[in-house]
Parts: sequence; C-alpha cells; structure tokens
Amino acid sequence: MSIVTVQLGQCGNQIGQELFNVISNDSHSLRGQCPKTESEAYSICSQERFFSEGQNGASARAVLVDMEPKVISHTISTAAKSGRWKYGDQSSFCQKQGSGNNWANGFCVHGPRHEEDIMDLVRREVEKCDRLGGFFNMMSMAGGTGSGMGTYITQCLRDTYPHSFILNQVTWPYGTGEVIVQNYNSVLTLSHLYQSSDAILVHENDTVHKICAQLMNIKQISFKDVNKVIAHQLGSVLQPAYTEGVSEYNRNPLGDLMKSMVCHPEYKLLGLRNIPQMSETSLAYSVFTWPGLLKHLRQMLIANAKMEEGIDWQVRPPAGGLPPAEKGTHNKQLRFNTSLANLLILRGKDVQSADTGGFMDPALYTSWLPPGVASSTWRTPMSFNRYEKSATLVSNSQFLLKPLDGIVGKAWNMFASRAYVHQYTQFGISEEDFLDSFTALEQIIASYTHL
Amino acid sequence: MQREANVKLKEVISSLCKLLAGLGVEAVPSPETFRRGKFNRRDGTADLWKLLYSLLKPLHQDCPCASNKANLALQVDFVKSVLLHYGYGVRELYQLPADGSEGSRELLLALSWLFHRINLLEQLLNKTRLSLGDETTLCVGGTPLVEGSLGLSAVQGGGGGGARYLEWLQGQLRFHWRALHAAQEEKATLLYKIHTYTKGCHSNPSISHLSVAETSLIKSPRQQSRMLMLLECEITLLESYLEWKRLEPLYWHWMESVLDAKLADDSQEVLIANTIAMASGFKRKDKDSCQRNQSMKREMDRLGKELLELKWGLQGEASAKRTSWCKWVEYKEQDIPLDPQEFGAIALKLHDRVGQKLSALRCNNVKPATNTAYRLLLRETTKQKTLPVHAGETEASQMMLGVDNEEQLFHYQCVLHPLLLRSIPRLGAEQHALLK
Repeated sequence: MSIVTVQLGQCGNQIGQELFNVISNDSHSLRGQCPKTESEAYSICSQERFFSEGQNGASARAVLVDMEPKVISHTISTAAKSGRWKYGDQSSFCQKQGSGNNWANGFCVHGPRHEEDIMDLVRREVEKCDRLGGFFNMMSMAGGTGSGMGTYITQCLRDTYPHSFILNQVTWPYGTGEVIVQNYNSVLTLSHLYQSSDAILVHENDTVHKICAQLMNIKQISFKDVNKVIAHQLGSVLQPAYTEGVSEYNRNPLGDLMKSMVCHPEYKLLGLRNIPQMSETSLAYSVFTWPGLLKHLRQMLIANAKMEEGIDWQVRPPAGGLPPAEKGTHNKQLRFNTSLANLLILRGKDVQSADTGGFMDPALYTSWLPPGVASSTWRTPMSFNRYEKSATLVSNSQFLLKPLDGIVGKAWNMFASRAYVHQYTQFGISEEDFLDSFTALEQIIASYTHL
Repeated sequence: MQREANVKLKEVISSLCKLLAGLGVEAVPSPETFRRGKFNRRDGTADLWKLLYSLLKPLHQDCPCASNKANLALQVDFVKSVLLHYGYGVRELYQLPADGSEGSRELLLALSWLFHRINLLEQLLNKTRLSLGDETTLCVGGTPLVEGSLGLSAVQGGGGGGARYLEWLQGQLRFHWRALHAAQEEKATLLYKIHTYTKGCHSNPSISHLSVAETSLIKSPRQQSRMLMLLECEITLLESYLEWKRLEPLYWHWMESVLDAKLADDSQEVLIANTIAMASGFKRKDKDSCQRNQSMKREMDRLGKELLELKWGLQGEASAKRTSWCKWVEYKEQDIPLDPQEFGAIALKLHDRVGQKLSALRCNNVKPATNTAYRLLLRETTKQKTLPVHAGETEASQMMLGVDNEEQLFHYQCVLHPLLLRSIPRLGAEQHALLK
C-alpha cells in the first residue's frame, strides 16, 4: 500500500526532501518502550508506504518536478548524503528555465509541453507499487511552476488515474510576500485544484514562521527550519496508525483520511494543528499528559488558534438549544470556529488511555453531520520524531475562512484595475478564466461561512 | 415379498438419511418417520417440516423470511414461501396448518419434488465442496436501477441539512468504492505474481502453476494434515452420495406408492374441504408475505409486457423488411439465368453462404454459465492467435469484451432514466436555497 509523492516546484521539492528525512528517521529509530513486533510492523508498513527496495537501498517513491535544475540537484544530493535513503535515479524532471512566477506560463505552456515526460515518470513509480494508495502532491501557491504546472499535473493525474485518491499539500504564501502576483496565483490554483483534487491540506507560511520563532526559539529563521516544521506535521499525519477498531496498521491512509474528512464536494480545505512543538533543548525538560494536550488542542480548534501559545480561552462553544440559523451569527460574535469534521491522530506512550470525548461534543460541529460521523481518531503507541507524546488534529473547519477571504479580496482589488493581467492573458488565461476562479472561490467562502 | 420390499425400502431411506447427515443437515429424521409419513401419520410431521427448513435455508440465506429462531411457525412459513418461489403448485401443502401437526404425506411429496426439480441434493453437495484452485465467478452483476426514491425519505428525516448530509454520505460511499477497487486490483496483482512464480510446479501439466491455497499448504505442514482430513470427509460424503444414487430408482418406486395413497385418500374426504378452502387458498397465496416473491411477480409481469411489445415491434419491422425485400428480389429476378443447371449451382452457393452466416451468429451468442465458479489459470499466449479452448473453459479476454458490451448497454439505460438522475441535484439546490 504505497503513496506516490509528486514534488512540484522549489517549495514542493524542499519540503518533500525534509518529509522523507523525517519518515526515514522515524521508521528506523529505536523505541525502548514498545514491543519488538509492534516496532517491526510499524517500520515495515512505513517503508512499504514511502520507499521501494532496490539493489542500492531504499529509494523514495517520489517524482521531482521543477523547471530549474538547481533546486532538484541540491535536493537529490542532500538526500543521498543521509545514507539511509535516496531518490531514484530516473525520477526527476527539470528544464533549463523557470516559469517566472507566472501561473499561466506553468499551466498553459510548461504543463502541456512536458506532460508526457512527467506522466511517464509517475507511471514508472506507480508500476513499482503493489497497490497504489494515492498521490500526495506538494506545491506552493505563490510561484509559477509549483502552482501553475502543479495544478496542471494534478489534473493529468486525475484523468489518468480516475479512481485514485489525490491529496494536495499547498503552502500558503506569506501575507507580506515577495511575489506581487501571489494572490492571483493562489486564486487560480485553489479554484482549479478544487475540481481535480480530493482534499487540499494547507500550511500557512506565517503560522509556521511564528511557531519557529515563539515555540522553537530559533533566532535566524531560514526556509530549512520552516520546512522542517512542516515536514514534522505532515509526517505525523502520514505515518502508520491504527484506525478505530482495527488491529493492523491501516493500509489505506489517504482513503481513510478522505472518508472521514472530505466527503462533501464543497468542503475540501483541511488545516493541520500539531502539539507539542518545541526546541530540542526544551523537550528534554518537558513532561506531557494526554488530558493536557487534548484540552489545548480542543481550545485551539474552537478559538481558531494557530499554535499553543496565545490561545484565547474565553471562546466557548455555544450552549445547546440554539436553532441553526441563529447559531451562525452567535458563533461569529464569539469568534467560534465551527467544524465540519475532525481527525485526531495520537502517537506515543499510553495512547489507549487518552480520552477524546471532548471532540465528540455536538456543539463543535455543524448541525447536519452527527458527531459520531464527524469525529474520528487514529492511534499508535509508537512515539513520533522524538516527542514522547504527540497529537495532531486534521480539521475541516472554518480555519481558513479569514485568510482565504483576505487573499480573494486582495486579488479582486488587483483584478479590478486589471493590474498584471496581461502577463496571464499572453499565455492563455483569459479574463473569463479569472472571473470563473473568483466565482468558484466565492462559492467556497460562502459554503464555509454558512457551516 | 412384502418383508423383502420393506427391508429394501429401509436400506434406501437409510442411505438417504446418511447422505443428509453427511451434508451437515441438522434435523435428519429417522427412516421410520419417512415410512409413517406415507400413511399421513401426524407424529412425524414436525420433524419433516424441520428437515425441509434445514435443507432449504442454506440455499436461501439472503431471503428475509429465513430466521434463526427455532420457531416452528416461522419455519413453516419460510418453507411455504420457498416452495411458492420454485413454483410448487399443490394447493394442499399451502393449506397445512402452521403448527406443523398435519400433512406428513404432503411434505414427503414436496421433498421428492424438490429433489427432482431443483436438484436439491446436488446443490447442497456443491456448497460443501472443497476446492483448492483460485476461484472466480463470471457473474457480472448489474442490478437494475432502483425505482422509487429512496433518497427522499432520508432528506425529510434529516432535518434542515438533509440534502447536505446525503451528499456527504454519497461522497463517503464513493471513497469506499474506490478503496474496494484498489483492493481488488491489488488482489489481482498478487495473484498474478504467485501464478508466475510457481510456473511448472503443478503435477498436472495443463494447469502448470499453483494456486494461493496450494502455495499456503506448502508453507505449513499443519494445514496439510487438516486438508487431508477434510478431503477424506469429502470422499466419505461422495461415497454415500453414490450409494444413494444406486438405490434411487427404488425411492421413486416408493414415492409412486405414496402418490397413489394420496390420490386414493383425496377422492374420498378432502374434496369437500378443498372446495371450501379453495377460495381462502387463493387469498392466502396473494397475501404471501415474502417480499422477494412479490418483487419477482412484479418483475415477471414487467418482463411479460416487454416481451409482448418486443414481439409486436419485431413483427412490424419484419413485415416492413419483407415487403422491401420482396421488391428487391423481383428486381433481381430479371438477372437470373433461365438455364436450370446454372440456376441450381447459384442456389446451392447461396444456401451455403446463408448457412455459414447463421452458424457464425449462433456461435457468437453462446455465453458461458455465470452461476458456477471457475478456476483461474494463467496461460502463456503462444505464437498462434487463438488458443484451443476446451469445453467448459472461457478466455478472460472474451469475458472482458462481454463486460464492455454490458457497460455500453448500461450507459444507454442511464440515458433512459433521465428523470431519476436529474431530480437529485435539483433537490439539493432547492435545499440550499431554503437554508440561505
């Protein structure tokens, strides 16, 4: 049961390499407190999922795509240095010149031109799998290659493998980002991805930056630190775990994730929260309990907090007995975050004793989905990435409503004066396409607002 | 003579009881019960009802009438509905009381009718058969689109957000389906791997590779001894079946005597009761509570109507074609030479060509049986285009062509049900409007 990762663009490739690093370290690390059979089952499952065994050791099930050769060659060489794993010799694709942060260039020109070569690489990876568990595409929204070509490749994947699960991981650009047209690129990416992808997992650069600064106490934050945090969060979702009531590690992680979270076609945006998150030095002195972790996580969900510090404890779920129509305005006043579905993934010691009842409260959820369906939990006694206990929350809720609104607003303002639009029309994205994208996103915003 | 006949009869019935016991039937009555049943004694009737129930239950496990409780009345109802399903027309059986106190002779007749009509014993034998090959059925499925709106009740029951919950469930169903599809593909890949890796290992050269069960047997010796035991049990069962087959003609002779006894009795007493009960018997059949029987009746009526329409349609088409053909033939007749020998040669050639075309049509339309299980074998494709296909074998590529054709037909069916498909999204839009 294997996942094929497609790393698109500079951002996708860098995060992808960190992700495979985390996974490889995690599956090979020794854990004293777990029985050997458990440990072996975990690492066999994880290896099968992400690496294929060749004569020269484990090679990652990944396809690397970028228009410039610099990032890819750096990524491949860093991976090989680790000694434990590497990228396949034939799994990368690059050209000589980039896309210039132009979504239309990536989508209309580079995409179709190189579609055959890239899909060839993907097909080779898929054939190595006994069972394809799905595709995990990593890209950023602001650039040209990752977002434009990435969207095109996602569409090709959907056309070629219509029954597969496709999870897109998207990195939201900094609010004060360097790329002027990043809002256009974001709008176009999201509206197109909504059609071909099953779920869109979002990481905001601003949030991760704050985590690095405040929680991990890193003074000079580089992209590498940000990528490490994102990779840690992703690894905690994708590594093996037990779904409820099953005694073997789940062999269909993407499918199970989709089943619990994104069954409705209008609600596909997923947010990720992971605690605890701290620097290695503090880790040695900290002790965690499951009730404490779960309480923090629950309040983070309710109050729409991005990390453990600065949680607003005043926000409370509404008392029961309010009719759904009034609930919307009531929640807005209290800045309460309504969820559609939540998935808790708990990893570490004594995980069976963790009580997740707090997440089954119907007040947290929208009225038309019963909490039994909306909330699910995965557990494993194996600790993850040096944290003795760690809890991750994948949430389909109103987390991204404000940032999304912000981006659409800014893009619309730019579009109203047709700024930079000619750069797109010259490559094939017309103004109608822009309008369609805006409409689609307005529809998404409306759906989430009336949750 | 009588005693000899009795002894022979006892032997026959005992072999039948032994076979039934070997098949795993729970409530096998003694041979004495059978004998007394001929004389319509009351005491063995309940046993005979139970026997019929335990014989018919494994064949109809998905029928909602089958219940696990040991309630005799429910069992009686089940047996009656199954017999109705198979078309058993003897009214007296359906009039038997539900407490199982009367009618052992009727039950014997029904039992023998089942033996003959649906090959009951052979079906049960087939169910308990051991097989070591990788099996698959050729059943393509294809249940027709459901009539009636199941979704509406869920929408009304789910409160204000019912439509969205429905869409959620539909999405979940789709994901489950995709996972199932992936699992099936994985199974096929692994099966292919095992078949290719064990090429040339099988003792039978025409099969040449091992199946999954055989491979796992090689791995664990404990399973081997268990399999040996199971095979020995099956051999004993088959031997008792062969014994039964040998004595079967005597059984049918005896059944004739049972039938004679019944007819002799009938003419005297039951006729009066029958005429009164006939009216209520009719009603009872209509009130048959088995859902499956009722839906079958509906299907049959629909099928009858469609066949009739088809017949009228074809007749119309045929007459139209015939008139145009006659005109064409008249036109062509001018070209035919009047010399009898040439004419004879031409006629013979035509006859041959038509015969060839008809036989080709007939060959292409022979479909392999879909109910039986087939063993999967991996064969190498040699240089020749067509492999020799033995009797009872089918090629997977042929089946795939057949499935493609069925898919096309299904698409046409979907086009013919536009109302059903269009109504669901419309409903969703209305609900959205209400919510906002």
